[in-house]
Amino acid sequence: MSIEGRNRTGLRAALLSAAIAVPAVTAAAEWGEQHLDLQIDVRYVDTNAEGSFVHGGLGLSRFDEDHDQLQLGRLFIEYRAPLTETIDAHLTIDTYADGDKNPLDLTEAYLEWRPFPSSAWRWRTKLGAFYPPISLENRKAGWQSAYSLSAGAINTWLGEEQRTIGAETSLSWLGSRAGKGVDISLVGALYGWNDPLGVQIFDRGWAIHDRQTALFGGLPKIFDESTTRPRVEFFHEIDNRPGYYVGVQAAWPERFVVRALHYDNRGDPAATNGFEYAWLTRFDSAGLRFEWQPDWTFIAQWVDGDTAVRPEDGLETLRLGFESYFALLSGVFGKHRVTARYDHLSTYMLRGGLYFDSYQDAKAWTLDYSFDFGPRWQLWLEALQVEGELEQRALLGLESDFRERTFQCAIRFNY
Amino acid sequence: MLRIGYLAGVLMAPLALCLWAAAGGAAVLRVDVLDRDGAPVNDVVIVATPRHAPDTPALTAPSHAVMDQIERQFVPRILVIRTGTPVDFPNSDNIAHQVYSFSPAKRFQLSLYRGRVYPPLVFDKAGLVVIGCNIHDNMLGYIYVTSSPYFGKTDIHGTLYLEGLVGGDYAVSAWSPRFNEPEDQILRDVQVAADANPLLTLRLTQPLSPEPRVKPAKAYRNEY
Repeated sequence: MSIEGRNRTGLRAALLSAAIAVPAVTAAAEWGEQHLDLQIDVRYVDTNAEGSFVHGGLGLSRFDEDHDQLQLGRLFIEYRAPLTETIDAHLTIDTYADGDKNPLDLTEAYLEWRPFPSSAWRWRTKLGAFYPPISLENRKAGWQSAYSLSAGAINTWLGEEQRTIGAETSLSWLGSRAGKGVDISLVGALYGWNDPLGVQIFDRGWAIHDRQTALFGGLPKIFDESTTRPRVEFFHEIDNRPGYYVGVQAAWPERFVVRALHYDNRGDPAATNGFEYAWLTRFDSAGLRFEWQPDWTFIAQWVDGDTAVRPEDGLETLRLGFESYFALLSGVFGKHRVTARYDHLSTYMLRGGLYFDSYQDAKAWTLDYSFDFGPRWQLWLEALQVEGELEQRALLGLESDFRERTFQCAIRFNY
Repeated sequence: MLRIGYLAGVLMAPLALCLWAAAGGAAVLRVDVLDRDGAPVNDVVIVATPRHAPDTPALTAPSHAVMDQIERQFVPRILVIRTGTPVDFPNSDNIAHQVYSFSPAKRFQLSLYRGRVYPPLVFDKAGLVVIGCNIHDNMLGYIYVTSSPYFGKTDIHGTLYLEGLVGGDYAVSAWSPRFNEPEDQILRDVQVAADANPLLTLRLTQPLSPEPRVKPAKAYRNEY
């Protein structure tokens, strides 16, 4: 335990000192241009959801009947600074003011090295804590969706449980700069400190919202209250086995992107640090985004995988299958954007446990409208309905069939 | 009186120009570019290269050109220049750009930070130079460098007038990044008689790629 404790402290100290060092270094850099995005998002929320997962329940919305009306949607700062001509530091500082461990925390912190291409081949390398190239929605500062308040279930899940803490490198062939129109990229990463990835989707299933778990934060444990740590902290190394992902992408700039990725965290399902287990999580992901004139976007993503854990109390390995896909259509009309998305959510036991079965079969409709009513101001309206079956609700004395409806009206100030 | 004088001036000026052109034996070649359906195609680079030894000096000496960056786009998106022309790359955005090209005709990289002035780059080799930004992958620009003095881009009517041509044989080329023609560009041989004003219509055989987005995507993060 003490070794684990030291490991955690070590990672935290390294990331925090990086966070402090970055502005100091860039302030000293002579030719730096620093860039800062700040957003304050305040919302009025009306929902019929009971017991949000943010407060230890099985509600799939960020908000619930006891936590709605006036809410802080999010406050974040994304800071970007060149350390050298080709190395940038990125830092995202976040708060949702919903009772997480740290009132302010980091969601991403990484260095990106982008050497100039001297031929049609280009390398890019990231080092630190960041998102893998899976989401085709979360394109804005703060890894925010450009199309809706709440991201699709797949990308919501990544925001909750996943972060690449390690190194990622990509090699692109820039055909669009060589007269061929298409850019082809290969990407690969090695990472650690994300072993609990899988516990949230096992306990609660897929959800649809816009809350990203901070690197030093967590989410309340829903069923396991026996340990001294009441929150799941996703960003720990437990089994000392690095994971990897490999992916490929073809892009016709500003027109069409198609990508696929295989993810394997190579977790040891028997390993534990006393608070969390290491989960063996593997999945395949694919997505495409098509943009056409005057300003329409279609996005589809799909994920299919499984996760396994072997609790130490003699039970056999539990294995959960999960699958989700969504299709999104969005159009811009002057200062107005309208988006509609359909999500399919599914989890099912591949190998059951004695006391707990996870099963989710649900669908969701998300409708969004946004209006840029000032150069720095946006109004967002979102209506979200998730309905279906979530069997583990019965363990909390709820009916397994549910229909959650959430309406949100957000005012965003961007600086 | 003043009014009549003004009118006379307005009428006389083109006449004088015509007389001057006739005296010099110069021709004006009109080029029209139409797509498969007969609709005009704008922003097509047209170059007329004399087959004979170019015994006339350039009408316009290589002077100076500008490729700006405005709202994360190269402006103009397509620039045609003569070999030897210096090109300025200002940055009108309030964010940094890193402009590069690895095209054989001109390899360069230029970090453009806000509020800095950089010396112009001289493009001394003919060919197509594709320009990108290492920070914003969606930015794509083209500098078409030609050694011929007769060049330009078609207007919104799909038309370009190449003026001051001397009589002789010309190879006329048309190029646009939106072309999907079997060859990269369209080539035609044209015989231009002195004092004539020939008309050349180029019709595409393949559909055009869509126009680039009018309004560039907002500040999206790099994805790969």
